[in-house]
Amino acid sequence: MKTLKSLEEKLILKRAQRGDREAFAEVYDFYVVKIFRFIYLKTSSKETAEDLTSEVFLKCWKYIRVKKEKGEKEIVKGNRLGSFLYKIARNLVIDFYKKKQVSTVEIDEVLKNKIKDKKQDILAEVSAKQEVESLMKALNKIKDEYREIIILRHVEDLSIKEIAEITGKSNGSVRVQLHRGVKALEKVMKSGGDK
Amino acid sequence: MNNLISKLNTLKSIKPEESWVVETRKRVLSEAPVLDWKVTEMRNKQENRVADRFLSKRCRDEALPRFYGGDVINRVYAALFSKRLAVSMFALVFVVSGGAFTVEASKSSLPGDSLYIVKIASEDVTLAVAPKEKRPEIEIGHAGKRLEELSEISKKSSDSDQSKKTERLLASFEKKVNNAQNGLTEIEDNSAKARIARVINTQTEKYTEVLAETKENLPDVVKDEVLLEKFASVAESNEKVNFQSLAIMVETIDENEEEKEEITAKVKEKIDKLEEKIIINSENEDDAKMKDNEEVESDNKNDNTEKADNTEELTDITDESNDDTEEDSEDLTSEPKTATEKAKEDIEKAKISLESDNLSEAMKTITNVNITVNLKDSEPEPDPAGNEQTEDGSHGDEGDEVESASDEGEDLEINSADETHPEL
Repeated sequence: MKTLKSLEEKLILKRAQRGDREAFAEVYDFYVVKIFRFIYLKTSSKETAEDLTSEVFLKCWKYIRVKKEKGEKEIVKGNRLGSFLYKIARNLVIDFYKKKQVSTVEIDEVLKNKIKDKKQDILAEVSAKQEVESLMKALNKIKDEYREIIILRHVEDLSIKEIAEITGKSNGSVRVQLHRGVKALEKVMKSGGDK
Repeated sequence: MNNLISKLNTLKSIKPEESWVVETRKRVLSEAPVLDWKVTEMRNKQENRVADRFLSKRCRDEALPRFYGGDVINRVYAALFSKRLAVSMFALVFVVSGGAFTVEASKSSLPGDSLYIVKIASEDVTLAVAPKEKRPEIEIGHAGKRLEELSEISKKSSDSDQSKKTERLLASFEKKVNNAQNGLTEIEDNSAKARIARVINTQTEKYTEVLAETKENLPDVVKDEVLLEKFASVAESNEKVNFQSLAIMVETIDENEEEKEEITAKVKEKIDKLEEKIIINSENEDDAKMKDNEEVESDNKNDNTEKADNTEELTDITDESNDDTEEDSEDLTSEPKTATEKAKEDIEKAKISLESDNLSEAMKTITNVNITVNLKDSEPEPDPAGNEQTEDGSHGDEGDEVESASDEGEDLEINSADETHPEL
């Protein structure tokens, strides 16, 4: 996965701090799909993912503005904008679950329409959709902690360090949880829990 | 487990709907902080000198009163009385096709389109009416537009004039970038100079990547040696401007710690890149030497068959060569350093300067190295491996972004004790 290079991120953040709308736009363009996907994989709901994704960016701008008005130098810790956005997303999902009783949610419209690979024929496309569906069902059956770390590591391609920053855990803890999560997921899939 | 991980990768195909992304973008950006509006207002004030001459004070004042939603009124005011309108007015004088929306419509035009000339004309007018301190920024922005057009053109494989258009766009891009840098050196005010140097530096960094990507995406039909050379030369010009703007940033640096940190990081990046180039040059030199040595050895083998028949002569030759040994060894010890060796030394000096916080010294040192290394790049080098040496200025991923596969192995070791305690 291509990330904004650390220096580029810092420069964009600086520009965003100064109120540069183009910088905000760049941040949005780069992260919107990632944040949507992350939230979607955690909530399995397209509408929720859409709502929360836009909320993430609005909160981000608000946070930057407030910090700027307070005259604080370090708006985002270590100037890691990406991690900051994922943190906001994570917190919003937690709040979302607190407000609603959400059990297993049906995997919805996103999967039916969005998985397109122009090179594949229709049968292969259907097979790809089924695979994604079964993976998502399996993911929904493991602990949220594990699911989150697996998504951040193997779907969003973040480093252990970044995941640790987002989740507030230590690097070692993230590695352990990741390993356990993958094992758990493997077990679910072997036992047919993805059907 | 690898199978599971590769399956997980398929989840990357999950994306939101395009229409939602676009709509949300508008909404989210329109709600971007008030701070943004103040910055826009400041910019508009600076840029509206021409428009102001044509508009009465009363018109402007009437637009100003603020009430609930007053921000909207002010934005409309800024848009209406902005430079954009003034430029459109100028452009309309020169353009035969009527309609106030001509210039607006031309913004997405590409070379070959009927409105492209309007686009260029309006850019020229913008430049002409801009104050001297603004021009470098405008030029670098226009350079970016040329690159966008280049990127669009490169996707149109059906275009018969693609090669010519690509060359023209590259030439125009190069000119704009050089103009921006030249304009920058003429600015007298240090703080304006610093700010614009930063803009040029940031933009040229991006342009390096875009150029490399565009070159990669060119259809094979168009990819000939001439065009590829042109790309390489334009990339070099862009890199040079990036370097020069960084030098100006170092010159005009103030006491702001954050800024200093940022610039130090950029200088370090340059040093790393130069070091890579030097290593490549050094390897090429070594390969060339090896090849020469092999040739000398094979010549020597031929000589030896003759020497066996001429033993007396051999003795004489040996005696002579012994006399010469002292001289030869002196020559060997006093052999001048190659450019690459000198460059390596300079890089080390630059690193030391950087460590002792002497940014300007580090920058001076690597400027010389940059010239040397790039001169070497432009010389036709003997390349025994037959590999093409390209200059794309691309970086590898940062070390902390990439985790090696051994991490997973480590996880297995840590967790072997937990096998009996499933966490489901």
